[in-house]
Amino acid sequence: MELEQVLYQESPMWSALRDFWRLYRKNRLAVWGLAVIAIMVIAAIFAPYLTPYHPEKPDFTALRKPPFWMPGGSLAHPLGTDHLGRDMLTRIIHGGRISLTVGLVVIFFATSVGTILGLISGYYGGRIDAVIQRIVDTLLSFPYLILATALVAVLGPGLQNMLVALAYKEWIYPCRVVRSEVLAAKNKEYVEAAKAAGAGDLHIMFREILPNVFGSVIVVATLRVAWVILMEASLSFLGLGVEPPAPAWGTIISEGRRFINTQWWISTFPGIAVLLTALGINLIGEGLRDALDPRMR
Amino acid sequence: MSKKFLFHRMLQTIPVVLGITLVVFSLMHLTPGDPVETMLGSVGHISQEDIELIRQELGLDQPLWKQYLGFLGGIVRGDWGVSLRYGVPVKDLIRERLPATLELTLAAMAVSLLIAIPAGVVAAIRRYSIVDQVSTLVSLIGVSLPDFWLGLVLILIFSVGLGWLPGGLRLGFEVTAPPTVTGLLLVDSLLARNWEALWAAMKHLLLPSLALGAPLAALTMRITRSSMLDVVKQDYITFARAKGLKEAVVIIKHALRNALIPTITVIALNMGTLLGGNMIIERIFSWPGLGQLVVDSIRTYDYPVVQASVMLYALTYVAMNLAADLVYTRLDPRVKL
Amino acid sequence: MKKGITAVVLVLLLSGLVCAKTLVIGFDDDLVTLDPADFSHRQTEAMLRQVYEGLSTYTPDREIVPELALSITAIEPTLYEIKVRPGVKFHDGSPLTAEDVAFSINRLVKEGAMAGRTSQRRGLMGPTKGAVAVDEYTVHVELANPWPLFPRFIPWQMIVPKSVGDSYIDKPVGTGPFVFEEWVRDSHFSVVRNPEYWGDPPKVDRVVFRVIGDESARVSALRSGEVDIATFIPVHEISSLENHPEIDVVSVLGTRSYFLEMNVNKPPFNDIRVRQAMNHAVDMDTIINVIYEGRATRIPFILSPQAFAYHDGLPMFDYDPEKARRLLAEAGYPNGFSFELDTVDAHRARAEIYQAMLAEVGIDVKIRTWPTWGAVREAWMQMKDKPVAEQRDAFLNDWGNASLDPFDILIPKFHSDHRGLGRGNFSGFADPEVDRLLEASLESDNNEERLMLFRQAQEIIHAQVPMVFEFVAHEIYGVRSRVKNWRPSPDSRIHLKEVELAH
Repeated sequence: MELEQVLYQESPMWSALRDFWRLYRKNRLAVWGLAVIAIMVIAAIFAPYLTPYHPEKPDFTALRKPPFWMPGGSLAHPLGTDHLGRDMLTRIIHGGRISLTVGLVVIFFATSVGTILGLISGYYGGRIDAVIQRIVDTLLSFPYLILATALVAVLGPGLQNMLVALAYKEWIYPCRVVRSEVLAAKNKEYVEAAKAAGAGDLHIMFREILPNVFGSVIVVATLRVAWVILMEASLSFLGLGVEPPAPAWGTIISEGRRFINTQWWISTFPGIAVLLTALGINLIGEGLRDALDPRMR
Repeated sequence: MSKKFLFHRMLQTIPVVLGITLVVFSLMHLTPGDPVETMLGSVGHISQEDIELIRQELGLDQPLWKQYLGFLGGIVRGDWGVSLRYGVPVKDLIRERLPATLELTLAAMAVSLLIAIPAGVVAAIRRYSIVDQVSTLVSLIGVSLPDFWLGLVLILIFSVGLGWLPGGLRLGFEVTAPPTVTGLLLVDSLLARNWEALWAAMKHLLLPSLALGAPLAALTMRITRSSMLDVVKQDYITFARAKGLKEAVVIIKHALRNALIPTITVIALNMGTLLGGNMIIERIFSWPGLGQLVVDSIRTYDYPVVQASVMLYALTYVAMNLAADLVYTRLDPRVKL
Repeated sequence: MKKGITAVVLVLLLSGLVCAKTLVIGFDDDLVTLDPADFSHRQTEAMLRQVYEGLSTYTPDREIVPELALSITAIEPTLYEIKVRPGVKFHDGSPLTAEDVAFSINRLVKEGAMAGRTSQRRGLMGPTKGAVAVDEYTVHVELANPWPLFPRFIPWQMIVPKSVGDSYIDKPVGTGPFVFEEWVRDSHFSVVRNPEYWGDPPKVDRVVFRVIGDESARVSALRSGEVDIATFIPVHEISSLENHPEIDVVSVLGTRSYFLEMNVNKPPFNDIRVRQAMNHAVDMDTIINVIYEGRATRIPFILSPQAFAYHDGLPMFDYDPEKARRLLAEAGYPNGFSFELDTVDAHRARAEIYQAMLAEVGIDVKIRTWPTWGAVREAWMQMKDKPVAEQRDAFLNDWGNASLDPFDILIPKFHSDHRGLGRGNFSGFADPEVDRLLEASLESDNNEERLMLFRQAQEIIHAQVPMVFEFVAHEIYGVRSRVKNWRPSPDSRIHLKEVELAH
């Protein structure tokens, strides 16, 4: 107890975090979003220990079993089984690993690249800015999914190629946000002061400006994770995602589509998982926006 | 001022359009192996000479830069090549498919506007109320929904379960289609006074346009809400209220009109997303539009079709973007460059 | 003038449609073309066959019966005489003569005869050189070398009027029981009754082939009565359809066989014991019973039981994982191995079952799903000159043998010429004796002899186990009970001449 108080008082990080949480907590929905995502992440990490089944192994004795509340269903497979007798709940939990990994990896790369290019673009301006912005405009004009689909078709399916197909355009979103923030920050006093003190460009960009635009970057990155997860599901739905029998949510939905007249649950439940994940992340993003960037409200 | 901006804005689109052509062109050349052989692989009885002939027709035996110039020339001349799969000019294929996609896209827009704008306005004037919170949550759900899954669930409920609405195609089997004038079935059946077809076409449009329009509705609602909030703070609204005008008049006549400007811009900009979203929705609803054509062409490596349609999508986006900017400048005096 | 008459006939027909009997067929794929000489696609064939006829045709019982020819006889091993049926008229009113038949045959075999394109169906004409009309109703067909299969292959070709000239057909005019009405790409293909048909005119007034690619949508349309016949019903829909009072589910043994091709030139599949182990490790009966709900027939090799020269003496591999493990150990893979399995989306579930079953004997399968069959072929083609280690491993595949003659499946699958760039010998199987037997079968005009040649070839190939042998799937159709006198055909053709619609 005492130690905590000491820490709270002495560490600026702790107090910043505490301030942040105080603001974040105000948005009730954001807290719920955090809870949902926390459960998803924990489930994804401990997936193999949560259910007794293997996500990829067929069980010919339990084909297309309905969820437990329907006649013929049982608690042994609470959400039923698919066309190869695999437990739906197990597959959905394992599918979370794929979706969350893809979302985080793509956004990590996109945000790093986008932030750096945005800093350069906004800080130096001129020709370099024009070039980067025209590239951004060009990429922006392609429908996301169509070019991603074409890319996967050309590169071949698989996790790696899907990451490329999703990241090719993703960097432009943080890039645009960072650029406009840099343009606004460029003439602020703290930058002027650093310049006057003889700081180099790199120092100003990364040490002075970056920390001040970091909040917006985090908000954008969070919101984009949800989008990438939706796109991953769409690509998998089109059969262009990870290879079978990996239980990507989009893949399960597309497999289940064949059974929509007879076994509706196969395509319904993984969709709910996508929805909850994207919603949870979007709610967190909203909360972060409120907490990190009070201007926005 | 405005003229200069216009000129500047037009100039900016030139490198973008060139960039688009470059990306589209390189798609075909990124592929491992020979596109012609890949494409013809499933046909069977095809000789080596045929392959050579097609390669020559496509100009694949020439150096890359020449091919690119030829490609640019083709676009300018309106010669988009011949589909490898169907053997008909790509232009004809696209002309055949475009009306279906256009009709679906416009219907999706209409549906989303009808839902989103009133909801956005109510959320803004009853800020922080239950209505506001619920609609915020609903709009967040809207942007978090995988549209293809929404389409499946709609089919599951309204088509498989309740049997109220058809789960696919543009027109029922028992209805005779009206003669093609515009290609838009709603318009054509109106022109032909074929009420049966009109009714059938509307029923067939409802589910896919809901599925396609949901994410846009969510977005539109949020934008409408926030721009309404911006507008009601303005002096002229306070002034109008002070004049003793009825609240409804103030909201609809003065506030909404101005708040709609950013909303319309956002919708125009999202036309691209909507067109892209067509790809999966059309597949789910067996909708014979451009989106399905693109997916099928990508899967069968029918490059001329892929190139032309991706190009079309991108240029539509650029045009909409430009139009939105110009309209925005005209309507909103605050935008100056 | 002729056009005028056709128009009048059409108008009369169309005005009669108000009370007309329209049969709607929910079809799984669209036509690829309207030209009856430019496809190798069975859905296209099924639709165009309503408008066009052949010199002879196959019945649903796989018998060849004369259609536009009265007889087809070999005068010499390289010369066939065809007697053309008199009194037949094309839909444009012109009479069918020997000239039209000769023209149609020449159009198929001559290079660039169709507006510069060469017929895709030329391969089905074997060594046919050309045809001439000898008199009004007699045609002579000349072959480059003896080809006794000519009468068996001629039913696959359709007869067009010579007025087509060197153009590409985009408005079909045939002699068939139905007259072409319209084709709307990806929507429908429709035909109306031909009242002047030379045989008994059909009993339905109009037929619409609706393209519904999505199988669930096709089944829904059948359930709601929007279509009268639906093709390719998935097995999991059968039980609920059978409970429907107005729907009958009928099935027919198809002509498509399924198998897994192993690259016999690359380790580990270069060892016959490994290939045997693969066959023992997969429980084919479970796959058939559980996944196909029994709607498939297991075969010891790749020929359908209905095919000519089907060899019922070939042993079937039994499911014996113990034996598989033993064979693997003998071959030097006591801990199994890992390989990449190429396949296409349609075979994905099957690939996953293989993966699970092979894992039981220690074989680790990585599945690679390709967008199209052509893409797999391209990938295999590219590797053919590469070192063995860079080649691909195995392909989970199928092959439709619509003619049910081994000619059209054994040669593309096992003749050494069809490795690499050929039509589809993915396993890379090559055996001089098999090549010789297959070539001899092409020259023979004696069915007894062909039977022996094919049986010998099958025995040699089967002993080498270049594939995991699987089954022939049944093709399942859903039919509304108002449709009378219709039954499916193993080659997926839709025979409608006799069909009636109740009420």
